Amino acid sequence: MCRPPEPQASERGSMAVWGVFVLFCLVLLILPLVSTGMAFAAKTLTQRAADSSALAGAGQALFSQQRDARGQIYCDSVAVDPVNGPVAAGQYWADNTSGMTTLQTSTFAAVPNGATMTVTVTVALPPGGLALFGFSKLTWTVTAQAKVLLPAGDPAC
Amino acid sequence: MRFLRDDRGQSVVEFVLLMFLFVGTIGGGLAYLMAEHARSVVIQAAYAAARTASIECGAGNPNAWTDSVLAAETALQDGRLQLVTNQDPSTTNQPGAWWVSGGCQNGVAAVTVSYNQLNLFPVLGPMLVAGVASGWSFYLTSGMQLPVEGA
Repeated sequence: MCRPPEPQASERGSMAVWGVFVLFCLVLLILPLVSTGMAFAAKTLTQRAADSSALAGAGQALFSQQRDARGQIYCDSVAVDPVNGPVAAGQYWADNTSGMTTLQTSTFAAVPNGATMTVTVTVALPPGGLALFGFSKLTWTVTAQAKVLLPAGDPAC
Repeated sequence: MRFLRDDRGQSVVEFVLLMFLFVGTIGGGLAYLMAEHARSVVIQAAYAAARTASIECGAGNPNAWTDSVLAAETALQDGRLQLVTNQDPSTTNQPGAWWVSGGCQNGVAAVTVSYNQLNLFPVLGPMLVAGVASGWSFYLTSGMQLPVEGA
């Protein structure tokens, strides 16, 4: 991509030619670096948004209570609400990524499994300077898990 | 007209002109990368503060907000950002100004962290879209919401 200019008979202006050539190479180097930095910032945001989404989903917990032999109510088990959990997760994902308008959410899955909520999101970002290297878009997948526990110190939930 | 044909010192002039371009290109790239790094740190700080608020508000801690601000400050310092003054960056161009706003309401811990990142190339500012460039600083801000634990 970067080939030095052919030597000419006269050396007048050779510095300018070399300068423009080196500058061009520099821009080719710096543009992808800049785009990579931008992508890392976006990745930080998406991971944090996925974390908050999983926590919000897991916060929609359903506790089941039982009575022991003495008739005391105790908390038997806990599970993520299969209806409200994914809804809350989706809401928090949307809220926490609303500031990044260039980010596109390709797929969003919030899957409750017992007491665990797993959020898996695939996102896409315009490639910026990486388009020079053939990238049409940058995509990545982030996963976050949150688990809801039986409350300590409150046997009846 | 002899002056026009005399090319002594021409290389020096060309070199100086090109140096401005080189320094601008490399410096602009560095400024942008530093701004993106700062943005990552600000996002992390917002999350740390929101998580602290979520837990402490849920526990009924009266110092929940103080602890949240401290969590954000710690995250900003861990990211090696220079914290110069605790002042709202939307009201000042002072590089290093930082501010944390938000709180716990209706079962949601919402925190916004703002920071002014030093910009050594103000001319390039509007081209570098990491934040709202204004003079010698990039205004970076990130908001994060988390459910209050146990709410």
